[in-house]
Amino acid sequence: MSNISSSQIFTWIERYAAQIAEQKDYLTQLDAAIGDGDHGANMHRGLQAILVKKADLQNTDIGALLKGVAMTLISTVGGASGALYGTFFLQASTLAGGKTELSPREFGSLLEKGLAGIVLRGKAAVGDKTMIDALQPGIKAYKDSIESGETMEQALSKAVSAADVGLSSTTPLIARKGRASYLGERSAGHPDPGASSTVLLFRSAAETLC
Amino acid sequence: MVGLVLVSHSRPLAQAVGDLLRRLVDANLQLTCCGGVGEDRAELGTDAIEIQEAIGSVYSEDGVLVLMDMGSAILSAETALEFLNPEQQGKVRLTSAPLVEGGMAAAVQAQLGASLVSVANAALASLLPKQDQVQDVSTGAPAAYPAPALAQSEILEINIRNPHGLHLRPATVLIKTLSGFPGEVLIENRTANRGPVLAQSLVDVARLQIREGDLVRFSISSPDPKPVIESIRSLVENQFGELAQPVPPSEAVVDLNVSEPFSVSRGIAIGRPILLDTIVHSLPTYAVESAPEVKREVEKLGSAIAEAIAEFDRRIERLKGSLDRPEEEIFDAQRMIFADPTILKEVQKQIQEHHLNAAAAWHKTLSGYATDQENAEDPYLRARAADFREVERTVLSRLIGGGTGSALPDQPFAEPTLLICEELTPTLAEQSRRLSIAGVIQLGGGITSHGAILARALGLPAIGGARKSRERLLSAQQVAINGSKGSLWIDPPPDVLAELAGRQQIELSEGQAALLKSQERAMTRDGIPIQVGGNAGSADDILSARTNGADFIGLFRSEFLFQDLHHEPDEHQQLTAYRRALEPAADVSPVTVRLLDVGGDKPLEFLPQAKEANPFLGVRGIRLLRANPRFFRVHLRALLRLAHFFRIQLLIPMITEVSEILAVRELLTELDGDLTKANVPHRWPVPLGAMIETPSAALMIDQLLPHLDFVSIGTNDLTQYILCAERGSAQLMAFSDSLHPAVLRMCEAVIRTAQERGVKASICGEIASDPEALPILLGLGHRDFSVTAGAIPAMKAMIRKVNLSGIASQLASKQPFFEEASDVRKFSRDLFERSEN
Repeated sequence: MSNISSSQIFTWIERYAAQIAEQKDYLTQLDAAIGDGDHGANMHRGLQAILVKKADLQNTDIGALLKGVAMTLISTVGGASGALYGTFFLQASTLAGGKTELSPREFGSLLEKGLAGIVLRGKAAVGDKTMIDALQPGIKAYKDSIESGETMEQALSKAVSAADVGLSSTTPLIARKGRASYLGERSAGHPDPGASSTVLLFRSAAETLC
Repeated sequence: MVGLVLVSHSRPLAQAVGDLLRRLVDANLQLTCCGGVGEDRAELGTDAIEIQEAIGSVYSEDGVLVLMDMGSAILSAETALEFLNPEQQGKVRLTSAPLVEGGMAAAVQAQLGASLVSVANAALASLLPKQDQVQDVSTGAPAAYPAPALAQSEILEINIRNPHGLHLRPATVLIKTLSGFPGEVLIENRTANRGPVLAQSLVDVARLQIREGDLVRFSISSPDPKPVIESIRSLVENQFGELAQPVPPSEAVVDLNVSEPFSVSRGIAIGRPILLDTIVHSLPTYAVESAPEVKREVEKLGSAIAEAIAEFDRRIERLKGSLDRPEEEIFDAQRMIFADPTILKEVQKQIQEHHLNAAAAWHKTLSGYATDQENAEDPYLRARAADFREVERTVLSRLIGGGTGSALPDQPFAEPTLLICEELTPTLAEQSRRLSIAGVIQLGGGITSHGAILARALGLPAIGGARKSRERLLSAQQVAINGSKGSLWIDPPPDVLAELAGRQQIELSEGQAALLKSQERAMTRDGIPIQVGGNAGSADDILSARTNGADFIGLFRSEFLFQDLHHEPDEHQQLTAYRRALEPAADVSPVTVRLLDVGGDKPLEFLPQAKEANPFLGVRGIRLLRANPRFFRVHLRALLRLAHFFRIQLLIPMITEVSEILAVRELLTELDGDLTKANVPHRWPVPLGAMIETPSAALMIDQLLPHLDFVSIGTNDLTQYILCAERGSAQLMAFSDSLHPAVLRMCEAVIRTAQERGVKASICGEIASDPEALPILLGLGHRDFSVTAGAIPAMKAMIRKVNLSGIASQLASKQPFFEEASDVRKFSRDLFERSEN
């Protein structure tokens, strides 16, 4: 099975930026229903800021690349998603210091490390109507698939499906974290915007990493 | 001053709150506002990096409180915290307090110079006055100060004239003014029947809801209430400054009397005070001459042993069934020592023939056995030494305590306990740890006694010079000390306790953070590497020094190896003892071994000395070794052989002139010849150095250096010799400070000359671990230090904060004008305050 190179990782982030740009209005709409309507715009701002640094980020190892992505998100996104996605990439970067490629298994460990960071930072769990509802099952599906000897393509496609299922599961939930929690019962009936942008993260991975 | 950081999604909002606080509280608050993202930070949002930088911009030793609006502001602040270094993390707090009200309460406390804990607590309680007023939630009755038992308080009742009552700003002025006086003031709203509360909490005073015209009662408990009353009157008259008449600031008077408590070993301890009978740590010295006296001592011993055995058996009975086999064996072994006929006979002989009293005879015999065991080759036999010590202690506590329970118990105290004693002895310091004693209050005592040094090594908080408070200490239920500052609280009020407990927690977590970093070499902010070694006197000390991050062992004191021996140790015994002690240092190098340094306050039984009128100016250190040439040869042979196994360098104590160094060199060369001839593995030459601890050695340094490979400045002794003041004297405390300009001038001369000649010079006195002294010593050019293990992490942390180039130039211009130690200390404090602002 082939490894993931650092240029592939950057392509992944670029693809994610493109998808967020496309879905910006949709995400903002979702957020307007249950939050303050800035998720799409915030994520878009952060990812565009990363593209500006393309020259710097492309020529480094994966650890430095992910760290650069993390710091840029943290300082430009502004909302909770900045701190959370930033933490995700920052934690993931700690396992990739000095590496120029990753095995599919190592990539899975990176994702898990990032998830652990988000759980700790957001103090949320599956069922709280947050991005974790999509992230956690997506990563699990990926890991299980790789462990059972399937290809990267199969693993990422299963991750997208699992994250999608996770996203749908957020629709009936009542938010318990973040500003959506101020809405209480009113938050039920809408999918979580953070979980939606998380599905896009998996989708762009599936399109670029295999 | 505690720094404040305000975080909001909206930058203008954060800035407006900041503006409000500066106008209402003080324009000079340490305060930064942040918020907003994107271009010009015009978008709503928060940025963790910006928050991190904001924290850095108001950061000081006192800490920083971060107030946020909500949601992602909290996440961003938490993320920012993670980016700080561990040292800073321990001193930065996030609070759930509301931004405006919390900021207000926090700013007032910060401006008063309150601790981070107090500032944070004030912020958390900040909604209470508002809730009281709006009455939309039940907050209970306004808090009355618990048991306002102020002795002999003066009462002042007066009507408040401020049109808006005693709202936050005037309340702030009131508290600020009163904090300048000693004693306490209670304040009560007689009109609304609220209070009384202590006039030191803004929240409490605000909850009294004092309006225009309300009658307010002040109860003043102060040694000198008159100026307090006058102050309050004038405050009320000029409407707490709202009539635009400035209130003259009042300054607290600090009494610099030398008999005030002083710092001995850092750390905060809170607990029940227990007085240690003076006899427990010093054996009775009376001699037993007549036959009836001998009979009485022997009987006393017999019944003490019988009691001890009975208690021992009861303990085994209780433990039966829960013991493992090896534990049972230990108990069996101890039981046998108690009843050993040979031991008993020997003790009786000591009483009958050497006229020792029962306790002294028992101690001498048992500790002799213990020492023999400790020198055994077989590890199992070595472990039995502990059994002898245990048995010795058990019987001794009965002999000395007289069964009255006044001796130290065998079991650790169940609740935190502070030990009150005349002077902390090394044994006592050691026992304190075993008994889980939280801290030590010396009634007399000094800061460079060996007990004090050990306390610092063990991290045992301690103060000295508390004699004035003896009576109050004896009747107190609870006492607290801050060893870093030498402060003592007797039955402190709950809020003081809470603050101390908070600070204790902060210090513990700071200590842990510093410990984590201490394994790395320390470098100043401008990149100058500084070596920090550890002082040691045993294998345990070396281990402790290494755990605490010692870069090397800068001073290994030989005397601790020998002090319990009754007979002169031969070459083999010495070599064995050193090898065992240096084992944990096998891979750190080099170890500086100081030749046996006895005389003065550290006599050894096997090197008897004629009585001297002034032992510190007598035959000590190298003088004593040269006076005992046979022993000296044996000692040096053992050390040359030790050098075969470890990378050591030898340090000669108490050098006065060059002839002494030449004599030691000559002897070493001769012994090297002998050992080579006899084909005994050894090493020579090894680096040879001298302690610079006599004024003569310091003044003659240019003559000594050509014959030396390194020098080590012993500031403890050097200070007492330069200032002609005994180390242990509580009355001469002011002259025991190694930061005295005279001592500094001499140290500087030594270091400059040594640097010119390319000879390494280090400092191995306690002064190096003093946070106020370290920047000064660095500024004078010192780059190598060796200190007690416990001080290393904090010292390295401090080095990392210092900017050397700045200090050196400021010091050079001020140094000629320092007249006394306090001038130097003040300079050091100012230096720090300037660098933090």
